[in-house]
Amino acid sequence: MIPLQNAVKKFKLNTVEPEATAAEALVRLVEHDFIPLLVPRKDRTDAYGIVTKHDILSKVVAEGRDPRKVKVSEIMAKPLIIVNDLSMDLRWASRMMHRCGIAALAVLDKGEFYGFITDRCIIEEYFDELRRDKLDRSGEMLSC
Amino acid sequence: MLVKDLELAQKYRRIPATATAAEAIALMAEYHIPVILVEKGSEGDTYGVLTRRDMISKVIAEGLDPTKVTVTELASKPLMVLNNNEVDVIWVARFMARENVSTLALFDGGEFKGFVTDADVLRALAAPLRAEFGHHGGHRR
Repeated sequence: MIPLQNAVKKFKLNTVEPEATAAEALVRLVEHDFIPLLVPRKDRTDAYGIVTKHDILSKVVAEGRDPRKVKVSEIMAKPLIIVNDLSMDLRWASRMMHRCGIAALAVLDKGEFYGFITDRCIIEEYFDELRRDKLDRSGEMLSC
Repeated sequence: MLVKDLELAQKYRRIPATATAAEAIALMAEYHIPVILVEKGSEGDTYGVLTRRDMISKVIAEGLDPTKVTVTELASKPLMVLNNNEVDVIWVARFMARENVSTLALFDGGEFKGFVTDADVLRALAAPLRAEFGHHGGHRR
């Protein structure tokens, strides 16, 4: 059992305004190793949005559009697909990402944005857990 | 921008067809790589590809024991291949978008060159825009 909280990357959160261009979002994604960008909400009644590399690739590049002329608001996904239980097992977050066909799942804590879960943080956290498991087991064998 | 001008960020790694999912996860996590080439298991077999997504949806989400599943059961086979490196990257993007994949295998004259990922394509296209919108120079909100 791996609580979700362990896997949420504590990366510096990057945001992009809905009025910004896709070119700006693209540069920001490249500069930050393709960690998804959060599109902030205007007020508490608004929803958060998200821009991932997949949005840029499929909605701008593949369509042959000029990224300078496309707005973030045209390509973002909004509202976010979220989970709000930080103690949930990573397995269920994995299943949700698979079921929804998404690469980044937003985690909210008490109504505020907490972080993203991505493919990469799941794999790396899962591996750490496998390694801890193995160490625990070899420890038991030593103590016998 | 043509495919042959792309800089492939992934130093691809390979894994034998009989390896377990746990070994593949270790490789992905230790080297921070999103994709692994799965070798042929026997004659007449084909190469396969294993992504983070495969591990997440087929092992972790299903609660399987990764030490008991082989990579052959999980890999996507055969590879989605790109063998014309004179083509514009926009077609690579369209291929990826249409087939809903993030990785294509690049061959040149029958020789496997490596994996082209969506990140490679975007990085190449972002390069000329960086002066305008990047951290150094240009405006920043």
